[in-house]
Amino acid sequence: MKKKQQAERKKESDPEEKSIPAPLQLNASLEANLQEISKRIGQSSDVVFRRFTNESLSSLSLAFIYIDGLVNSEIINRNLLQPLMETFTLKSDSIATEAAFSMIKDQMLPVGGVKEGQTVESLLGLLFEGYTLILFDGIQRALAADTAGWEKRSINEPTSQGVIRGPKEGFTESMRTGTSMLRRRLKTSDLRIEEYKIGQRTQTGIALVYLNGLASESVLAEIRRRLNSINTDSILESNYIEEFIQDGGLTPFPTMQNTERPDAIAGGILEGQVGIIIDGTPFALLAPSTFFNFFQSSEDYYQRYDISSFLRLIRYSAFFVSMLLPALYIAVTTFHQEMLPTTLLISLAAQREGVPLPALAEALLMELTFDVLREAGVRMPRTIGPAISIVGALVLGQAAVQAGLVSAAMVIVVSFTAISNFVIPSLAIANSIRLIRFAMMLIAASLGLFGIMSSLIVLLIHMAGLRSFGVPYLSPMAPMTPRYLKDIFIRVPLWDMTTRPMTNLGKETRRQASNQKPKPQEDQQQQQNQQGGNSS
Amino acid sequence: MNGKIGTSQAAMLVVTTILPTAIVVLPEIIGTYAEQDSPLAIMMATLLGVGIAALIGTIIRYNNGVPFLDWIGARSSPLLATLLGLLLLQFYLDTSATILREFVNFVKDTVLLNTPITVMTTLILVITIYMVRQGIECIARVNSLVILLFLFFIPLYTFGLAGEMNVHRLLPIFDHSLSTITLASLTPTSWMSEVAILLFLAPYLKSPQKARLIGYMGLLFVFLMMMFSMITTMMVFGPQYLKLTAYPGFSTVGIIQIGRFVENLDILFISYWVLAIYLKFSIFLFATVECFKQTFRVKSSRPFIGALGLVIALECLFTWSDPAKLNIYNKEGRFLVFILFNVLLPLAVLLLTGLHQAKNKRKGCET
Repeated sequence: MKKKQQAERKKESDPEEKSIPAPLQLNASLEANLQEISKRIGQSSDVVFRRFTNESLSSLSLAFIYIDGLVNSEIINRNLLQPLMETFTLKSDSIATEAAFSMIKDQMLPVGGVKEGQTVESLLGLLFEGYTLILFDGIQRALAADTAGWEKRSINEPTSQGVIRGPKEGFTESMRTGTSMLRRRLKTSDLRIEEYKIGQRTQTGIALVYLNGLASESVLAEIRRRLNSINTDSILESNYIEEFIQDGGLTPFPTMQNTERPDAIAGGILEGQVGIIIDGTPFALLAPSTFFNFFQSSEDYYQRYDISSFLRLIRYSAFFVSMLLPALYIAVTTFHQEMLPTTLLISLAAQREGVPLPALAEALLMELTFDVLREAGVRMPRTIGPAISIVGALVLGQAAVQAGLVSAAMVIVVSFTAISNFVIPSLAIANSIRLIRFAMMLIAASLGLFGIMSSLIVLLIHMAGLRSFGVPYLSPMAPMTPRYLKDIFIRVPLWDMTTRPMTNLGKETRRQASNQKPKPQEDQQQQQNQQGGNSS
Repeated sequence: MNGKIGTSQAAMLVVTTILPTAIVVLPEIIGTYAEQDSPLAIMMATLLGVGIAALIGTIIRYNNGVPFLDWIGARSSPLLATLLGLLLLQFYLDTSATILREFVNFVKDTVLLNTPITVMTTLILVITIYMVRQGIECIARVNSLVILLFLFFIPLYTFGLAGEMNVHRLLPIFDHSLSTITLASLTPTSWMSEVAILLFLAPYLKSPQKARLIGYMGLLFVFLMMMFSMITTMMVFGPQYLKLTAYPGFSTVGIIQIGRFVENLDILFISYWVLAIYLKFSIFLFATVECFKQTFRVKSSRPFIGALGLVIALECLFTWSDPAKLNIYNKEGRFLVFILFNVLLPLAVLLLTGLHQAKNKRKGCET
């Protein structure tokens, strides 16, 4: 009884769900079909209806429908209108409608893709993708010719993930451009591109890209299952997909990577990951992703291994600094002053003497100010962007210290924390740390270092329990697989990476031949001779 | 997420089961009796611990990772299994409560002098319950990371204290009688006997047949760490200091100074220790929950974790409110209790099983 009441209450409180009507079969009458389509799409100014007859086709009535702006009008004029409107001589005097349909479809349309549709819905779907519909009077079928051609942004350098050395091209909003960029990089027949349409109203194209035989079948099955189970009206950006399919719904940590860089996606695919390209956004996704993936940058492989390893270590340090530095400062100045040598302690105390706020309030004030500045920097028009920097640096930095609102040490702590946050290559994990940092500061102010350590153990346990499409989030550190650590904290030389560094994501495969360390020719010959001698 | 754990992960769990409290509590107790011969007492305790690990490993090999009480129930009678389960449950509840109290006392004494004990107990308990709910696989993963982290502290500890150490403070060796060293080794033996926790971790081991190896590896690491801590403390302060201070290990770290900008590093080591003790408490809470699950044959233990945690918290707050009482228990009572539950009880079970098997064999021969 109670359950029934609850169900009824839920039904009442739920907003009305618009049911999806059953597909409507095309009518034999052209007029009826045009009316139905016109009714469905309304009086939109960009929809072009064009009716005509051709005497050569026994005065058969035809109609074109296309959306101006989504089509290439040159293709329509040259490849559709011209062949269908010109007068030609048939072998017989008259032609049946069915025969005219087949003739037009098979012989008269010099267009790459011609599809046949029988329902209004399928035809409308094609119309919105840039197809031109050709409707016939007296037949319950229609043709759709691929005439898509709209304005696209050209390929540019990625704005969020720049590199000094390496490819400078980034994905665009076009999914097809994205898949072609991957095709250009992965010239193998094993490359698979599966396409999905998600979003009842947006019908957004999603391409699942992977290497057959390298990506884990179980991971692929899981991604397909999750994609197919998305039931929403719109997908406008990759984050929609990310939130719908990523593991650990309430975790602050990302379990999928996003990138604008086709080389990063290609690199991931070559290591057994699966790429997801979404139409309408230059950001593609990579899954499964472990915690350590977020500290790897494409550029790590485009420069020497020693500097790459050094930079990796810097990034991990920056991660901890960004998450913990303000909290540690609060804990030390509030609870554990004995940790600091007397001279440093006196210096800090002298700086804080005139500050009316406790360390936590001071830190929160500065952190929030920085976040406001950062947000303003993103939203501000480019022309007045530099003003923000001046206001931030002068007014909120120097002036706040001079006014005695905050101590100079706190400005240093907050600035270093902010800069450290930008060192992390993935914006997704950098944003997670931004939130965790505030929680850490509050805990440090209440429980000191004990509180920080307690929070760390909670975070560690949480991360140890996270999975990304079945792959443990902290792998290959926990559970530890030492042979996969070659590309985690440091990057070993490429010739030493004989197996894929993240093969636990996919299948156990060799990437390349072993013993490729460059040696002088004499040494190699000597080695071969020795081997020959041993074998004989 | 109670998946299976590997051999090295399990060995590290054994380390964390023993080491975090041992390294804090034992130096004072051992030092009181054995002074500079304390390393000998640790050696003796480790040898006895190896014997206990062999016993526990043999039982796990026999039952091949089947839950301990289920196995006893199948071999003898479900009633006996339930009775033993109740006794063991009491033991694990008491032990967890003492661990929690030691943890709270330590934090209260060293870091948060003014924070109410109830607040600390609640916070620690809530975090540990979360850890246990995440499962033993997660605990084992984090435990491995935390132990690895310890390796970074060793060079800091060694080089930081190098200038303060005097090897002559370890002399004269063999100054105490065997009976004194045996007396000093009793309490550490009770700590080493905590390797018996493997009985309740066995169902989650990837290779239960390697249980003995797991025990040996864990105890060997504990031995090395205890020796390292004791010897460095004695070389810095001398054996008399062990008797005088509550936490000699941390006092030793306290004198490390890096340049002129970082000193009193004990807080850093205490912070690390906090991570380790959280793990130790979570392992014991997990074993308590597992014991409860096997005793009362419940399918899912998740709803009971909080309730068992509450019992532990109440015992911690009201039974062990006096630190002196806890010290007396550690010095005098703990050995008996731990030997009874971690050694004699498993030994009796093993002997009974052996007898039962021999009887069955004889019956088989007669028929």
